[in-house]
Amino acid sequence: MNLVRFRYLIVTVALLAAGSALAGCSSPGDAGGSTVLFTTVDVGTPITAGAPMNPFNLTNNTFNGYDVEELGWTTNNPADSNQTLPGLAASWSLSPDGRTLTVRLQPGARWSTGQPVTANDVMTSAAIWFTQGAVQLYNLGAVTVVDSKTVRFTQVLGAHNNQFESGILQAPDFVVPASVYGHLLPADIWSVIGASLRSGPAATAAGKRLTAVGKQVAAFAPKTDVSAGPFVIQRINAGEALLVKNKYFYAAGKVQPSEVLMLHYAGNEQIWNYMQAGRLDVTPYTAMPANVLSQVTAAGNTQVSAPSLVAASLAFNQATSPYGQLAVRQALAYVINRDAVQKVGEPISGVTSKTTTGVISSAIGDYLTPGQVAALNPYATDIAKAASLLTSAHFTKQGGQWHLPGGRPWTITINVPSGFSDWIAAANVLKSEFTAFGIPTQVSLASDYSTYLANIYKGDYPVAFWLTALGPGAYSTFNRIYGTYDGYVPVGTKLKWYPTGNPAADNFLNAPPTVHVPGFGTVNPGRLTYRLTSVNLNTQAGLRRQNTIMAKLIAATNYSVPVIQLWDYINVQFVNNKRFGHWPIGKNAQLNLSPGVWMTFGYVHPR
Amino acid sequence: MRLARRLSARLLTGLVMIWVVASGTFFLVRLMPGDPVATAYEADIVHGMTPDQARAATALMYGFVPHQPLPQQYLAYMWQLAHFNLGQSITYEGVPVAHVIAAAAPWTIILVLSGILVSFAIGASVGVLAAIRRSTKLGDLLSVSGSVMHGIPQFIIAILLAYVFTTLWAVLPPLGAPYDITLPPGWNLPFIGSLVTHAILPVAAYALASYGGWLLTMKSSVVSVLGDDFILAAELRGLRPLTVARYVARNAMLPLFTILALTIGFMFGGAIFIEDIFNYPGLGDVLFASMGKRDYPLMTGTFLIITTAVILANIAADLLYGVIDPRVRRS
Repeated sequence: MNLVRFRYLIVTVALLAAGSALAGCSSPGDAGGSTVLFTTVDVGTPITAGAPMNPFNLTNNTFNGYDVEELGWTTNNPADSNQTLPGLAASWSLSPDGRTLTVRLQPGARWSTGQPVTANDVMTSAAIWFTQGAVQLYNLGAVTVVDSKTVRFTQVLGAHNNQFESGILQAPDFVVPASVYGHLLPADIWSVIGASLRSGPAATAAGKRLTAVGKQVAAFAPKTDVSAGPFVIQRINAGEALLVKNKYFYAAGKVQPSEVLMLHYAGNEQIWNYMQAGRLDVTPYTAMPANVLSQVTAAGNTQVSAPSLVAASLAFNQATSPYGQLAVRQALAYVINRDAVQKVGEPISGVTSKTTTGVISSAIGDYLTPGQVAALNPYATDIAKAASLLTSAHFTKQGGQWHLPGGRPWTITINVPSGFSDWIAAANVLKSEFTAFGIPTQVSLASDYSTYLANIYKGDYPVAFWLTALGPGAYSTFNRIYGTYDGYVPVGTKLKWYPTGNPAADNFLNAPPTVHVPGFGTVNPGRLTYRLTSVNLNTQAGLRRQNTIMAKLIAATNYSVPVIQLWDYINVQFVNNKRFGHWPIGKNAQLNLSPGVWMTFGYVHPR
Repeated sequence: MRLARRLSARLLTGLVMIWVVASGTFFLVRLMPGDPVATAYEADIVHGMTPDQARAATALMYGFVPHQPLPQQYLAYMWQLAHFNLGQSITYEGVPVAHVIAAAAPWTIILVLSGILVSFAIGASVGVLAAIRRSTKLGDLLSVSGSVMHGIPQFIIAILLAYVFTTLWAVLPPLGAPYDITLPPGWNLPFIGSLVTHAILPVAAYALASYGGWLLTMKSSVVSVLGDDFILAAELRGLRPLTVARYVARNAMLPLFTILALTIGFMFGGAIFIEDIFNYPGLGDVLFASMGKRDYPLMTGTFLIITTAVILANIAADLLYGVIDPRVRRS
């Protein structure tokens, strides 16, 4: 090739590239003066290449509260898990027996195409909920259209599920347009649904057919986004999504931003990078160490906190000696300095648990009287008490190390999954505390969370980290200790128990079936937890009954220490006041929801 | 005719190798502990869903997890592969694996192919210079730079570049997307410019991490060829320096050519560290995520693509070698 021509070619290419690069150096939002761009990440949707814009696919590129709407939004209230804020449903009423829910849609609700959101859309969506297996949990039986804006939901005959209201109104029951999704459902879908809710071979066949339809629905990839929410997706690539304001949204007048830019993230580090660069207007809950907190705060991000219904605990497999002994678990609780563990493990997004109860500390007062609260054992650090308990259980201390009653040296391995930096840091603090007490301890990392779960369910971990107090529902709170993970699984209207290793349950805690709790007598935590599913929360008597059961469970957990509660998580978000203001600070109900929902309620104003 | 026979033989061997690898990865990934449904459920819990919401959200996923006996699953998988069907993803709940790979692949190809070509061009050129000036300070400096860069891990270079050019001296776009989504895609200067500027850092990281290897290999190859008699003969015959250089280049390039072909084949594995640090959503990202979520079909599909690409690249290198080097053709 002629070298001179080659040289000209190189120069030409270089100039073109430089010109393109200069042209490409534009910031988002430079396009027009009237654009009000809001930038954030969606913790539930990191944006994934190849994922469909279909909220029913577990890996999707849709954004709850922005282009996907629910009938209502959870307030995450531990005292009332059915408490809901209006979404696409303007109002609703539950029959006195709690079995029928009548929902009235927002009168002005319209899709981004301009078409009204009707009861038929909700009917179609409800049929899809059945195909996804999402509403059978709440015993939904029938759905009827009352008028173009009113839909009635009824439980199956004989059912009294006390989570019915929240189960229908809240995620993952998304409302989608019949015009886009309707063709996926067979004409006889409601006959199939009805048949699947009965029993016998016909029900099994109908269930299989429903599952097959559900798979087709989940795999469906709409070419364009049709939204009833405040925004609609205009463009999406593998790393960002641009949503523009839906001018037909029923509360469009309250929504101030004209565009939303959603950013992709693969992990916390990417979110920290965005925050340090000042790119995010709101950052959802992201765990971070103290040094990163100071960096992101210096970049203009302000911390905003709300209660979170989850706690980090150290769990024991009571089928493994010596953790089946009450004295051992209580002794370890007295050894641990929970303040020190929380300060290192979760300094930003956690508060030390007041004691072990199975519920977050701020919710204890919802279930117990002040006298009952005062009677709880705080398990304040007391090395002498711990030693006394072990001695009474025939443990001996020789040469500074504790030995089991049989004479073998006692060592502990604390298991944590790789990638959970807060648990790993906390486990290292526990390692120091136990070792200083005389129990040589090591920390063992599972390669990833999936491996960790597989091993814990097999019963391979005598001592491991575990999330507890998962509310807001009372049953879901104690299910983490006395439900599935203790072998208790509701099967139809009965409660069955399965040992470790049975795939029907994930029993790894192996707590004894009954506990004698001072002041409460003999308590059966597994059965009591199950009873929480049938309490009628719509009556005062039902709420009192729930509180009575919860009081027993709290007392039993505090006394028998099946887990040692270390810290309660708090929902720490960050807002950046550079471009926007008017945040729902202090409004815990809204703070737990996405900023898209905040905008619906009139928050988030440009500066 | 001989070429056709050679090609057929190579392709047949390649098919057998693909089958062996596909079978091996099929069983190996299923030996990993963990359950995709339980993992997805707990992941939803960690992300703030209530247990009931998480249970409802993952209810259908169970239907995408194969539950038949393993030999039956294997036969079904082989039957699908024979029809060029990579199966359906578990965590994407029914979305074809090929679709997921196809969505991520372009970004990996752009990133890694650009990085390979840039690193090859720089490394080979500098390698020649280092060989020619091998007894001088310049030659030593170039050799040392190649060794040092070759020894620095990819992710260190990536982190440094990201910090310097997006934080300390913010002249390049922040990390995350392959282009600015606010610009309408198309054959227009702003969009193409955005593609270029977003790719600069990831490509530079890849190129800087790889060029040292090309430099050292090329230098060694050139030094070896420079010592051959036919080069001395060419110089003594008074051939122009450019002609001699062409002789040197064609002979020195041969070892690099094979490595280049294999490197291009491996590019489908993505550059996981670079994609992770630059938040660049390519195949490495997909593979890494699928492993964490135990998405067996997506894992085996991605491994199969990587394997097939490497095998095909190997075959191509084998065949093209004869085109480049007449000695191989004659033998």
